[in-house]
Amino acid sequence: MKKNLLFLLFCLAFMALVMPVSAEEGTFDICVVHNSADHPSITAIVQGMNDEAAIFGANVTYFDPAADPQKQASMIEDCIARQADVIVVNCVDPTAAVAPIKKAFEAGIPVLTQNADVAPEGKEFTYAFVGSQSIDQGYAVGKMMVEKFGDKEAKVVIIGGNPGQTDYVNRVAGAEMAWAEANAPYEIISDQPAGWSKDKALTLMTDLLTRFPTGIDMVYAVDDPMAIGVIEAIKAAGYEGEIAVYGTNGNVDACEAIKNGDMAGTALQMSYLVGVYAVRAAYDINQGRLISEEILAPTAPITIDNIDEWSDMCW
Amino acid sequence: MIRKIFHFILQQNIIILFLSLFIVFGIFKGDLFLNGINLHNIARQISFDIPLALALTTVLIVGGIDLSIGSVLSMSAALTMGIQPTGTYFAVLIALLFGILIGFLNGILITKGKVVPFITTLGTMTLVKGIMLTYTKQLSIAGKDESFTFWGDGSIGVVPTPIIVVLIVALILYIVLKYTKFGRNLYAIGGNPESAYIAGIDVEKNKVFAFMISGFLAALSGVLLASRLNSSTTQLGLDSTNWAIAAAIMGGASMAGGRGKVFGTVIGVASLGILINGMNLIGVFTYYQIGIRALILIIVVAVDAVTATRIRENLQLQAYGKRD
Amino acid sequence: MLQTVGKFIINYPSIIILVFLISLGAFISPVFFTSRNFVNILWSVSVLGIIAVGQTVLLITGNFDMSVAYIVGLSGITTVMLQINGANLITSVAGGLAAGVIIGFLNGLIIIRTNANAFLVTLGTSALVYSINLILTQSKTWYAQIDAFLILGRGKFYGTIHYSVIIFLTMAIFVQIILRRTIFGRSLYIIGHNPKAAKYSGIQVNRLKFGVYLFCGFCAGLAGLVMTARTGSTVANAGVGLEFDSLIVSVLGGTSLFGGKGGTIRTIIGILILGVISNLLILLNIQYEAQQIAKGVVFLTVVCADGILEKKRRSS
Repeated sequence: MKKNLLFLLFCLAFMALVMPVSAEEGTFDICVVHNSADHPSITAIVQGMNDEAAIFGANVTYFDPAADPQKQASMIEDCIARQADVIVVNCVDPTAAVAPIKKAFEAGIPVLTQNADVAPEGKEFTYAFVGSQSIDQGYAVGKMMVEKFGDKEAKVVIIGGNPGQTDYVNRVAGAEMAWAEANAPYEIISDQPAGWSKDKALTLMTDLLTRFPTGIDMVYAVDDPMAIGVIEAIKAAGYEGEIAVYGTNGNVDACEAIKNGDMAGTALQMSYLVGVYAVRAAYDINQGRLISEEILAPTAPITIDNIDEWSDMCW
Repeated sequence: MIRKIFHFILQQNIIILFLSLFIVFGIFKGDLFLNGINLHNIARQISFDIPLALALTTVLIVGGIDLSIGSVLSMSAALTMGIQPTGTYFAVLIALLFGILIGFLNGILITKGKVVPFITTLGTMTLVKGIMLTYTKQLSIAGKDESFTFWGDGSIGVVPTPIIVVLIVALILYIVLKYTKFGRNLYAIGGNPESAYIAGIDVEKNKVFAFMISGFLAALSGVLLASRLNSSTTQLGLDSTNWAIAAAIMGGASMAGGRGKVFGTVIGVASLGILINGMNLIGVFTYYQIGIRALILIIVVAVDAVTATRIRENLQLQAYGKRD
Repeated sequence: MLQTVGKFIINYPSIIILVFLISLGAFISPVFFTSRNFVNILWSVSVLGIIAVGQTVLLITGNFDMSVAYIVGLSGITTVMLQINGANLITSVAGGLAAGVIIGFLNGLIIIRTNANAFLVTLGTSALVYSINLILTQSKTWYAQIDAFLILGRGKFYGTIHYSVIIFLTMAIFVQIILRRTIFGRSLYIIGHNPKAAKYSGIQVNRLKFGVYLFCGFCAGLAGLVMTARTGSTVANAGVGLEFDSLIVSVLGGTSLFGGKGGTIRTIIGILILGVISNLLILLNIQYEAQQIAKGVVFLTVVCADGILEKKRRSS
């Protein structure tokens, strides 16, 4: 009995301790629901948002559904309950995000989508899309491939993220779009997911090199860390310089690899700018200004030719 | 009477946790936390985790564990959306039957194949995930029937529909476990399978039934989720299994079998739901949220284990005729 | 003669499955049965293998550890962060290993002191370590600074086989010898078989259990170092999924979840089964979703066969 009372007191004390002081008062509240906070691009976005929010005096709160669409829906509802002034959503799943975004709309809270857009049927409930479209990133990579290989026949290996994830599917679709435009006769000989993991990409590529001892001309890893894993596998198997590896993101080590000639190219995604633009858009909405429906952060195709201009933008 | 209630509450660590969460968030963020919209939101959010935690409670009672519920959830959500054009409720029926089928498969493998539940369901987890990815072609499926969203996204009055559905199911499970012979058999099997067998209980059959219930509940959660999001995605149910286990154990179930309470489990899920909601309202950064949830889980599990040992020792002392 | 063969099959069904898988691979894929491919398979499973050695020893005592996956991340992060702050090779490696051992210490302490369920406690510490990883890395990728460190993951012994594979195999064999040939090792089996009996026969159950948790933390830490050296960098969720994989391979090899049965040599077999399946499925260009189904089916077949054969073993 006494022990239990003690436990109650302990719980209360513990909870009171772990509750950090709530954010200081600012002019308006922005509620951000990420896709999954465990990704470098999110860190860059958060940096951009924080820097810009400090200028505008906005309060930004972040939520992480860890790539679970149901949790994301719940968190959007939490944002509505918090009576945020603007909600920014990085959709885990475009279709599943429609219903909760509609709720925010009905509650009169403006919604911005960030980096991953909502499905077309949910577009009418959002103010704007801020970010770089994953399909554009894929398109930029596809273009780089076309520049390098022209209309020669080439065999491509795709190293993907998690099966079915929007970014993965769209980036590949974007690349294919660029090929189709240029009538490039490239063939995807393998398309397997490696779960955004460098180590899994390394293993997968090692096995793929065993399976296709000759014939792989290009690899598109839909994320730079995986591209680096692929390069490690290529080096270990002694195929250095024979295969063109492309990534997406613009991570520091990818830029380094492009400089060294290990990697053929990447689509630099300016996540920091995405964060900045989102806060600016939120501010404009809050001030009652009209904003554009699509605020795109530029995607820069980076190869060895232009790496020097861009290297300080890598993150 | 009041003293009795007070005493009862203090007996249950989970209720203490629940209350203290309520008090802390009420004090710190009362305006946001205790308003009608937020409570409505919490009720809806937890209603998808309750069936999962109940599924685990049922199998934990017979001394098993079911890791396949996350995959079953996403597959039944996919079926609900995928077959919807043929008939909305026909699709729901198929989805629920699929859950029961996987539960049956688990049960048969465990009883006839003599494989421990942890391993069997780890295998079916991978298997069902593969089936789900094949069936959905790794794509999201959008719902066609707008009226179906009533079950997951609608409300009756101010109360969200899914919580009503789920609480009715919980009530039925409560009655089955507590007042039927089948329910008592489950506890007996989990407590001591050999003496249950000697007492004439068909251990294998009952175990299979328990796993079928588990599969059904996981599928139910999937159906409700499909209705809530009006779509199914391959990302559903990713790490829900771990926290469902945690909620069931916090609610009084035991990995050793023979213990588990429907009421406790529901409170367990509610506590975790309130914790997450409250931290979101306060604006605790996500990295710390994970850590805080982990600390609470460890503390609850540890305290529960210590009290359980105490109770056992007290019982032994009483058996020797001594008073504590 | 036939009887010996029969007995062997009954006792080691996993070897039969492995042999079957390898012959199947040799038959249907021209590139499968090459030394280069085998070296690659071993290399890709070595990280998992090192974890599984620790996990197997824990399983033998009837415990298990779900936190190994994020310990892999933590030890890599600690090492890399130390290197970034100017520590030398030995200090940074020691720091990474220490991080693993500390979490093992924490697991052991809570589980033994409170008698709480190992699955849940380690699930809790697992989430806790993940949160620490996230706070330390801020979700960014961090790169190893010392080139010599990378040899641990990428280097080859006289250009034939990777050091990480040698580490894994040596550990597995060494631990097997300790398990089988020393009093200490035998005591672990007794603890797993019947902790009460172990206690009454004078074995210091808690102390040994504690030691095994430390060892498991150490193994996960070492695996984290190898993985970091292999990829040259680390992230917060570097090892995610390895906790289940390490259980799967131990069980595939024939180690029981109930304790008292198994060995690290068996785990090598389990790991090879998993490695060969993954490799074969990619070589045969089987789609990811079908790979999942195939893995599930093979896994269930092996464990069912083992479960049914267990009866025969008892009767013979």
